[in-house]
Amino acid sequence: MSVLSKNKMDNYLELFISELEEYTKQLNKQLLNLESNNHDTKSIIEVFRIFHTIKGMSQTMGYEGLSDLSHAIEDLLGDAKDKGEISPNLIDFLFIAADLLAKSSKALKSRKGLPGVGDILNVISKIKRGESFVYQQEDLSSKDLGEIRIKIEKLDTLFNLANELTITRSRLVKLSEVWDDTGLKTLADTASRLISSLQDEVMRLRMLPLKTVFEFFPRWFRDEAKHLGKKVSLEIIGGNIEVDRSIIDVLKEPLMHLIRNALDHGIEKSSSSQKKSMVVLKATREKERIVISVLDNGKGIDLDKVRNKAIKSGLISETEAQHLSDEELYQLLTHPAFSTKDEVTTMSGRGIGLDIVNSTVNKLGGKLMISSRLGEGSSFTLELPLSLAIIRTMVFKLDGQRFALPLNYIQETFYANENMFQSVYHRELFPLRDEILPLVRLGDRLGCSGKKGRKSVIVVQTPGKRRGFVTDEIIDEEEIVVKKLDPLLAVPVYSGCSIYADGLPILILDPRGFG
Amino acid sequence: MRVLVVDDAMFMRRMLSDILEKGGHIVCGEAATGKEAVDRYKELKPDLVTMDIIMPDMSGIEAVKEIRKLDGEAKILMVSAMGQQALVLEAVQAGAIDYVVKPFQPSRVLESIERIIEK
Repeated sequence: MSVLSKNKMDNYLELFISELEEYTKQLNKQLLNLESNNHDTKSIIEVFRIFHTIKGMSQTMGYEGLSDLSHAIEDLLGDAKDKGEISPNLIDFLFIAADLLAKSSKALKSRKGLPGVGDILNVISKIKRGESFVYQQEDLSSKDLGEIRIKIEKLDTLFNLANELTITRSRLVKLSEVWDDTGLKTLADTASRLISSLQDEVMRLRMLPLKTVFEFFPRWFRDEAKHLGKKVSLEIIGGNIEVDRSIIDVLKEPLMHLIRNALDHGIEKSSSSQKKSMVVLKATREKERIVISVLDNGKGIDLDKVRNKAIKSGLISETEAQHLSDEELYQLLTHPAFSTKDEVTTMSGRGIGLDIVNSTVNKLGGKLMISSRLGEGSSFTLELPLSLAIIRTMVFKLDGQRFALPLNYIQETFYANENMFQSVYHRELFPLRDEILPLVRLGDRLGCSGKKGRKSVIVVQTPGKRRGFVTDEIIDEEEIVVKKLDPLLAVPVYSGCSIYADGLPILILDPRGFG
Repeated sequence: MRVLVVDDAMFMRRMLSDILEKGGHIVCGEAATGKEAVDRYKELKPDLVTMDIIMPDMSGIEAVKEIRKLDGEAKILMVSAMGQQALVLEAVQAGAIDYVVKPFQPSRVLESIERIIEK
């Protein structure tokens, strides 16, 4: 029962909600931490304190359910607090409790009744009695919380179906234009809008916050730094940004590489100066892209050493070396020749696994950017799409057939007549401004003839290569839904396929497959 | 009376402050951790402290001990949630004068303060 009049309570409600939200956030953070280290006494005490505080607040507000729940959990944590260890099962359970807290603040915000705590309290008494607690998520969540857990595969199926629908939508819209029937047009418009919302919602279901990967790093970093005998701190920014699960799944490895590099080669063992060594893992969202950087304030990359090594290993000639920009020199670090540990450690101090990072990022339709200042530090930045399922492409025609090329490889396009192409040792080149651009006749490579005369050239950049892809005609930029290619059809020049708006299949080129 | 309010939850601090101010007292400062409480005590020299027990950094009990070390006359009222009776006892042994248990009645808080003043 509340101890203050209703009027007064209302004044405190907003504050209560915001505090509850804040504590729920902290709780999740501590639980994630405990998941990677269930002996972290500090975190266990924090979790205990959070529930204790929520209990006091809830009692004051007269929210008996919440206060009973917090009290029961406080009790439950007594053991863990004494032992300095919390069982993975209990952590799992506490995540559910955290969800319930989140639900509660939501309910309070919309002035609805608080979710019931009966089921969850039953689970707690089971845990206390030492009985195995297979809590039925459905019971806890769907009945009480209006939430259920879904298997990833089911979500994927739903996602695929929604994507199929978007293809149908495009066809429907095209058809309504051809038939020119007002009724059909209105219907197509409505269906189109609904399908867009459906797809958005399903996409959102697949989104996870970056902290699902980031939370791994603090503990790992600590161990690595200790192992290397370096005093350095890790700061993580932007863990709440949400990206598609498919990206989350593959992010850990490249980030581990980059952070380990920063630790191993960027950060110095004992810095003579006063500066505090640190590595920053930072994510920001920029429109439909996600930008993740690993920054360090270590010694930076010595470009002269990079240049010498590149010449020594035959990657570039001495004359070429003179003309490379800093950016191009940094890019050389992603070449496999730079990725042999012993040599590089004593040389430029960079390069371990960077080729792997680069190729992973490229596969995801992103890019790796490197910059550095000698003596001040380096930054390695991954720019990635938010989702892999839908990519932006340029659609072009060749011999009447359509193809799509992912936009992230494309730098520019231009028209040129074939008679401006120059042939040197059976290779076609095009003088583009002050550059000699090697051309790739897509027609020859894809087995179609292509028309003669005026051509559209797409300038494509792949790691270490810039080439002009010769096409008949550029149609448009288009967002398309990527589908996997049947293994029988899988050749390196294609990365997948899609269904175009008119219902016909369209192949997506992989520029890296052209050698 | 100039009162320092110590509680890790802003919600509770706000509520206590309101009650105290309505009772004619002045809330001269707030603190969210035990450490902060000790620092603010040194700085503000309040007439009275309301002290939560379970807080980050330093518990309320430790803070009571520290404050009493600084000022043997310090008047401290423990304000704690139910289920912490043993700790309240410990706090009283450490030098707290009285205690109220959350959820508290505003009148109960003010009465306690009156009693402390009379002492």
